[in-house]
Amino acid sequence: MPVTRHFLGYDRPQIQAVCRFLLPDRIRTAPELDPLLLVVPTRRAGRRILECLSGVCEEHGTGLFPPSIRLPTELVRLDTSHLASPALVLAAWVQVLRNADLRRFPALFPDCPPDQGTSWALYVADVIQRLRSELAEGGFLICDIVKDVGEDLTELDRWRNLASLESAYLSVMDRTGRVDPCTAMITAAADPVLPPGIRQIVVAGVPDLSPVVARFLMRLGDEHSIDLLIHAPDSLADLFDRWGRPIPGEWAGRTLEIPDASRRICLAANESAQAGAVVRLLNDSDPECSVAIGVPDSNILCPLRDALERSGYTPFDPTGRAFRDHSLFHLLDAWHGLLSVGDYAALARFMRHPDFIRYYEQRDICVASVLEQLDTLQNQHLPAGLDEVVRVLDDHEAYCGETGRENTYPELIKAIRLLRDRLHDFEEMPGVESVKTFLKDVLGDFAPGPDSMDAQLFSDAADLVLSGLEDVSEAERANLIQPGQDGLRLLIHCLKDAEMFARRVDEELVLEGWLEVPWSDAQWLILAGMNDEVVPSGFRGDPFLPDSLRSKIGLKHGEERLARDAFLLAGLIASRPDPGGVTILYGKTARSGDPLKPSRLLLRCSDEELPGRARQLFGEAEVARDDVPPSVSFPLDVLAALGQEAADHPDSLHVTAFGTYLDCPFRYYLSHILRMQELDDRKMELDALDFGNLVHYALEQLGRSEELRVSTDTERVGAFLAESAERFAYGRYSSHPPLSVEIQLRSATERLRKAAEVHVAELAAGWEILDVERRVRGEFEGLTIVGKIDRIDRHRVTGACRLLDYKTSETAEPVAKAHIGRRDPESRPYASVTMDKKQGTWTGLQLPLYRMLLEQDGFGEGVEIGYFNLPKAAMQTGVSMWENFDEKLVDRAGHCARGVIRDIKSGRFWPPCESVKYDNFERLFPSAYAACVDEISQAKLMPGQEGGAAR
Amino acid sequence: MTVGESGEPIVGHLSIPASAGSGKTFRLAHRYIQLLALGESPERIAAMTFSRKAAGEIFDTIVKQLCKAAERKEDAEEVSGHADILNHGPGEYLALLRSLLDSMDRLHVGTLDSFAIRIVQSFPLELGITMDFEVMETGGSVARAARNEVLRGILERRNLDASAQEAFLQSFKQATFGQEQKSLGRSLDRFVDDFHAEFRALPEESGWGVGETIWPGSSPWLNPAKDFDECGRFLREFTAASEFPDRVAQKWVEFIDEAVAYLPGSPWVNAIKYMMERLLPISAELREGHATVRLFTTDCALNAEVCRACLGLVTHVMWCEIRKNLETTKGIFQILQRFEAIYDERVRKRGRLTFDDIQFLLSPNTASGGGKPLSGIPGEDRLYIDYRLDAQLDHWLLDEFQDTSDIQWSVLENLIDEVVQDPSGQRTFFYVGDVKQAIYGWRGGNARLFDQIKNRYRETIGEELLKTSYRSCAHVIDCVNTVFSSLPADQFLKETRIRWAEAWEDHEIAGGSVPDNGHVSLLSPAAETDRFDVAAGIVREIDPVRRGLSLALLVRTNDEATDLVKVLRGSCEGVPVVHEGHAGVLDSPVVTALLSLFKVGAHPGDAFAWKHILMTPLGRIIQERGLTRETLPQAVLGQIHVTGYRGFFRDWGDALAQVVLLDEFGRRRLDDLVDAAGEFDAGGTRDAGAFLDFMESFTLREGSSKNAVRVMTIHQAKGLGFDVVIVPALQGRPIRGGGGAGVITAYDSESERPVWTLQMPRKLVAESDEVLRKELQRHEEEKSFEALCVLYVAMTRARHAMYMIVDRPKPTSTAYPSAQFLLDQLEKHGVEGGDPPTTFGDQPAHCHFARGEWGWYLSTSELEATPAHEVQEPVRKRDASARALPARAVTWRSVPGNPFTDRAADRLELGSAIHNLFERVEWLPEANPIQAVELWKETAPFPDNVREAAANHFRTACEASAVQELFAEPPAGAIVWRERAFQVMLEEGLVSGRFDRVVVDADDDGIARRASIIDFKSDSVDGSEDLSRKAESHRSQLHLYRRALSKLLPLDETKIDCFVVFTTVGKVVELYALP
Ligand code: SF4
Repeated sequence: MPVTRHFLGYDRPQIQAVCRFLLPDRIRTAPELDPLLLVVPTRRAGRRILECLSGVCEEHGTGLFPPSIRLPTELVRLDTSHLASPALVLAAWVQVLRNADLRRFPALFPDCPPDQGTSWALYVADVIQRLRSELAEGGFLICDIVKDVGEDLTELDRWRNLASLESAYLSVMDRTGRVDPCTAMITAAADPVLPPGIRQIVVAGVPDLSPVVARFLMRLGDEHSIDLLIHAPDSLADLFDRWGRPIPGEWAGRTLEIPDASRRICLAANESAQAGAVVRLLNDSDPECSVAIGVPDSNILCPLRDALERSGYTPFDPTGRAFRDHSLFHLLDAWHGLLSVGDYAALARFMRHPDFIRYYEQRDICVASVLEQLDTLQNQHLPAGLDEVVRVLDDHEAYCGETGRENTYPELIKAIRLLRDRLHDFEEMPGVESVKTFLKDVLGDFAPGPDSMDAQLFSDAADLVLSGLEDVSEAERANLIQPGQDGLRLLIHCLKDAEMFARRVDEELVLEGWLEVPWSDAQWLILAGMNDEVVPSGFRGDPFLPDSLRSKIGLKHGEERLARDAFLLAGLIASRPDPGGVTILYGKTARSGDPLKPSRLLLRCSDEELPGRARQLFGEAEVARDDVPPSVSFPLDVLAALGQEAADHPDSLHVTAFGTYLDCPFRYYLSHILRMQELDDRKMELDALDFGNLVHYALEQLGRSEELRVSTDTERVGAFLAESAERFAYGRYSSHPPLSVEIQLRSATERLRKAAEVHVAELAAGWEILDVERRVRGEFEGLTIVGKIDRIDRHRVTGACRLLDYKTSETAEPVAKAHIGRRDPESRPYASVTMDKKQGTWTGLQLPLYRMLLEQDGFGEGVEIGYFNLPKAAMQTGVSMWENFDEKLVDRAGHCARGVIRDIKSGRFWPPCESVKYDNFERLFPSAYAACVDEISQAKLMPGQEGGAAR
Repeated sequence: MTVGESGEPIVGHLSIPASAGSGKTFRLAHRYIQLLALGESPERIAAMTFSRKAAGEIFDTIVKQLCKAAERKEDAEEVSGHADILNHGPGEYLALLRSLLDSMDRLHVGTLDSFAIRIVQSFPLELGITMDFEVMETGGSVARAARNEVLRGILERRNLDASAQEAFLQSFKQATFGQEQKSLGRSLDRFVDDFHAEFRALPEESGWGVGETIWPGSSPWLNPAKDFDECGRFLREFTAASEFPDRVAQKWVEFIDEAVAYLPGSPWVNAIKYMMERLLPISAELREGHATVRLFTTDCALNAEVCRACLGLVTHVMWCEIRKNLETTKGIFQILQRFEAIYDERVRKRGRLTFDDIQFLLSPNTASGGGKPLSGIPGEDRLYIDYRLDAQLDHWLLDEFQDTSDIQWSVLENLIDEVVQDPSGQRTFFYVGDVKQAIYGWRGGNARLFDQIKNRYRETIGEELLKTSYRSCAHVIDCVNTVFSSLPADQFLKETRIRWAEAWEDHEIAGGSVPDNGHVSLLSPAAETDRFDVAAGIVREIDPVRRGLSLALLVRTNDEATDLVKVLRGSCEGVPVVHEGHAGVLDSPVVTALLSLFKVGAHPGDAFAWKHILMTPLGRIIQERGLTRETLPQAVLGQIHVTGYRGFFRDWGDALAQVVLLDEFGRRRLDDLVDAAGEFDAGGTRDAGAFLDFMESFTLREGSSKNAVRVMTIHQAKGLGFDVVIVPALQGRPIRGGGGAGVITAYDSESERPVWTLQMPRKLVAESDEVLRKELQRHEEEKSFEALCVLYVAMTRARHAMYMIVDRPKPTSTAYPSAQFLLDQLEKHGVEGGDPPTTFGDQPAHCHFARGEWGWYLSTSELEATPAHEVQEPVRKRDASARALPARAVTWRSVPGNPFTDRAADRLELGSAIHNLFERVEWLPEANPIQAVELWKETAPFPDNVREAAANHFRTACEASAVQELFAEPPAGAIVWRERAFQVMLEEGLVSGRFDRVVVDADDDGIARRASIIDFKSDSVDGSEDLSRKAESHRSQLHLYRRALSKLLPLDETKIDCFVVFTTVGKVVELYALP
């Protein structure tokens, strides 16, 4: 029976024309289309045809028995039972590639890859399979190309290399008992089989039928009737070949009428500008006229969806959701990361996966505590991975057992235990079965409600995983891959590009792809992203199939694409008479900033029009958006953050707190009253505090050692200090700490060795350690002041005492300068001080306060104060005293301290200081303080108003 | 050369040194047109440049010129004139336009980067690519996040084996030479930033800090005296014996002590410095054996013995210093190499490449060995680049050539060599650039290539100068000429002056094309104010936004830009000020609040973030949503995993916008945040840490609009023009001298390939060695030249007016500040164009030089008062898409609990197997059901266990009498459908389904009288109660089917019976229609 071409004309949109063709003229009972095989270009086109058919039948009060719907490629893949799954195909390739002696394929791999690892093999497998699928559409295997084109091939050696790899692959495939999908396709075309009961085939609107499918149909044509439906008038019949494909030569030079082009074609600066333009067009459109949006350039989907949603539309993107974006994929991926890399980042990622969170939450473990404790542990111990975390937790538990202290990580311990159980189970079981077990355990009784979108998606995702697992386990059974981790990797690789069918909610506006728009029946069509290399898309950058070769062997190529797209656009425009029509948008630049060009189709006008059209299309785009001066969208209601737990008036104050308050009362409020402290797990090395602790610890040990603190043996003292520091560091950060810690430790021990020299010299000068890390406290203005003095020395001869503070900052700073800064006229009156006849302002009270507290502690007056500096530059290591520190200064410091306490007690924390050295709160204040903090808070934080307005 | 009909050359190779604003793109576009006119097909012409923007402009210009020429005869003549074309009228140009546009998909007009990417795409296996790759913006936030990952990776020792760890620690120590560091992370980061370009240029160990490579014939300083102790002793005796004044003797002694104890890395103490400064300059005399050295006021005469001893000590110190630098350099190399290795493993091998990586991959000079596709001579060795790219490139047009780096050039070199050496004369090479704008040296740009190539192809290449500005007004150009036409001889190295003079041509202006009102001045702030405040004053006075003038403020560094932006925002209210290319999103409380929300979700222990949220309206929203600090993680992380970061921020941002009326800026930033999140999502990960890293370095990509005052670095301003330019930051780097040399790479003068790299020793040391001195000088000259270029670029951006604001620098001997240079060149020419105002927007300043009217801008019309920022309310204006088709599909699929339990999975498969098996049965009893099953088992596409189970079910069912009854053929005969799909519209929407089995009793006319629907279920059933419960659960589906069938046949619903067959137990349940 013949293959018949039917030209549907331009009277109505394609979908309506197709349905008219399929249905009988008069419908009395439900039309029985089951004996019909309907071939459509896309899945969605099939669905729309079914909907449209039902709609027509409904008008006649009935339903229908729908035709079988197939994509062209599915025709040649009808018998699926013995077909190898994609995973099996990849596994077979991986096996071939990993074991291949690449030197035998010099044309393909001129430089041997450094390792023939699994991920390399998977990539190459993908590349070769992509090539094979394209060839198969033309009816070729690689070996056919070598045979058929042979000497005519550029890069013949490379093709020969490919062919021998292919034959190795085919024999591996053979051994699995499955059929290679490409081979299957070619065989199917040679010997076509149809599903039982099919008597007629209709090919509806497929403008680019591939050679292999055409061959299939040709063979069938002997016994079945085949109808090809073409959305074009009869008069254009000569522009199509017998399979309904636009003939490239005929379409290449054709003029494409775009009525009212100057208005209907619009340029926009970039993706988001196009999205904005779509919204504007919609808003201005006639509500009576039905609209559809076509989005050939998928880069616009995201901004477009966003712009539409923001304007109150409910757009719907019918392309599949990538499985990659589903949380199930991330769960598998995180699990794989934990198993294969196992570093801290992998652990942190897994612990934060919502499914795993749910899993431990269901076991009465507090999520917030687990995560907080994990962060704390990370900051404290900088663990390299799970093993380290486990070690720390074990040690800590033991330590708590011994000392009776409370465990810091109770919830984390429970969660990690659960995790280890899962890991244990996984290792016990061979193969991908263990993945299933893992999922079963972790997802437990998770059941999303049956109606929700998420549930549908979840169920789709689960199906994908399950069938993927099935395939991978087959590959395992066939010994193509190592069971376990390799299987998991293959699974992830196969799934990462899988798509899930998106179901519709109450959609209004469907964002159709380029090949879907022809199936829209809307009167008015907006096309966004009509840029060159999108419509028509090209085949640039293909490693094996440059355009020249494509057209030579009859694969899809550039000219053909151009013809197809010209045909499609012509149909879209011609079948939409007034008041409908097509509006075309295109962009000037991509998001990345790359320049874009308008689609060539838009320039297919007559010669007279061309210069004007080109000038229009290559014009300047309006700037995407205006800049707006920054403003504070809402001020911070600082007081709202004051929970019950934070008391306005602390009952004790640490000596260092005074400095903080003097620096900036408001920041003091944030850090000390509100206790705003950051916490995350991105710490890579010791911070200044940790480093100080490390050094302090070692020096404390020295002070506590009866023997060593009086030793004059520099070497020994130095070694002792170094060892103490190492003990501390290795204890806390494991015996294999991160390199940063190692370097910092070396730096610390170097400083300590230098300090040993200084210490011994001081000893020689008569200064002996009297006490170290001495806690002191005292009352001031009804408030307790507390502190810890690093070291107190007494002179052997004079009996004089001095107190020293160890300083580990990069550079040594004179004591006085650390406490008294330049005169600041804006500061509180109590903070002003005169030293050496110069006016200054207190910036810290630490050492003077220590001295006062020691005085109360029975040391009497006259204790000298100073720093023991351990800075970066070894030369500057040494004791530096506050010369001429006198009673007057003590008095002033006391006065200042009392002033601060009074202020704190009265709740005065405003105004803030304009500039501080290190600002942890910077991001709270993008603008002037007065604008960033709400006025009520400001007023409340400045009771009494004595200081006047904000600085 | 492309030859004409009679064989005469028409177009040859051409080199075009151009000046700023002289229309390089325009010239290149006309060259392109000329080639087209000569009949070259467009796909054979490559026109490439560096920036994306410029790439777009090239093509636009070509098209516009062709359009013009195709429309009017006069324009055609003009274009012909520019492009040197004969006999072309509008008709010919139209044809050219048509052919150009038709072949748009095959053109090679674009950036070098995109060309490189295409090559990599075409040669993945050859280049060792092991992944589908994505390209990251060099230095962009994606690349930054990747880099952080690598730094973290390095610090974790699991990535290095024990020896590598030790080596790393050692090299770090070496690299910092005992200058111990507390923060490895930061130092590493800096290392990589500082030295990466050098490393890329010379990635071989033998090139870094290896004495033999630097001093092939050895250096006197590298053979230290073994007996320097001895020398010391001898000199001590000499000092003691001489009757020097005390302080002289003391100097000697101190020096001797320090020098003898000197080690690599020892501090450069005073005594050493003092003596070395005096002894090094006379090292030649010392070698000869008689010298005099003057200490304080005493001349110390040194005899041969003493000279030898002095030399011994000096050599020792020199050796130590050089040694130290060699070691440091090696250390740096080691670190970079390790960084590189891990970077390779974690980033590149995972398919994340920066543009730099791409160039690097392609360069035949690099160790990657990947340059193959481009290397070698055409034919045998070279891979099939033309073939794979579908491109045979006969003509090369390169723009901005001065910015080409060695690596980039190495990518192109062979392709272009081929063209130039082509004997047919049918292929051409054309390049244009401005050596005076070579400011990308730090990024590897090598302006010398411009001349090298000219020299290399000297025989065949022509030259044409472009020196007419189409951009700046006469005052600006005069000023540029005044400053640059002759450099003060005493302040510049001779080489710099010669090189500059070679590149320099006095600029001219294209009357008619440039604005005729304009102004230039050189100002300095009065004592009570500063440069930035004066700049802000000028902005206020000109009020560019209202006048519709574009205004840019150019600075040196991004830190300066940040400060300047702060000043401007503080004092120019209502004027949008944009820090070009560095606008982050963190300047809005909307963004910081939302980020804090995320932070608490991911890190619930973060008290900062938590309290922060409470201070914002988000606190209320959280409460309304019933969330607490404890429950936020599940909510936030769960949401992010479902909708991505983008969906998360959109949702909460919208919620925020509902509680507070967001201002325009807040809404804008919210959108920016959502976009940024989308960009991160595209990377595929949901990792919290990576997201935080990403956001911290995120900058907005979109350029700023015309209505903003733009602050940018001079580097960013390259290629751009503005109506007004203010340059308030020329202090910083001097135009000559100053600063340490840092790491220097030396090039072979013949091959121009890098030979060695060294962290330069201190100046005194370096200058005392011949090899190092030469390099140091070359480096100085290079730096000085580049400084001139930077100044030149800054001064050539303005169309109408330029204000330069400088502080008068304090005189120094070692450096020549740019500000001083400007004052020297301009001040003597005085102020013209009226008395200068004393204040600028109330900021007092002095004027040193001026041309043009001060009030030039007053004549510029003010823009119509457009409402500044129209607030666009997000409302939708129309209803639905008014689609004709019903949208909603009815589904009844129930989701089983956990699909990963074995039961759930198997049941699904079993279900379809059973359906498959029953489909084969028309009536029961089948002649031989057992045989039928066996037959089925052979072909059924199910796993063995499923097949077996299905067969069992089938047997059980067939034996049950209820089933047999149901399947019995009615005596009168009937129609039976098996597995028949249907589709029907019901009230609830479109129902599509598949009947397992329907038996229709029809009359002779085929009109249905009665029908039954039979549905197979493979649920496990446990007792009769369970049976009815399970049956009940299928009621709604069956009811739907009943209604569907009723409509399809058509037949009254009451005449349709529904049965569920439970195959596991062989039970049949009838579901009666509910009344
Ligand atoms: S340092 Fe010791 S006590 Fe402190 S958290 Fe770590 S293991 Fe526990």
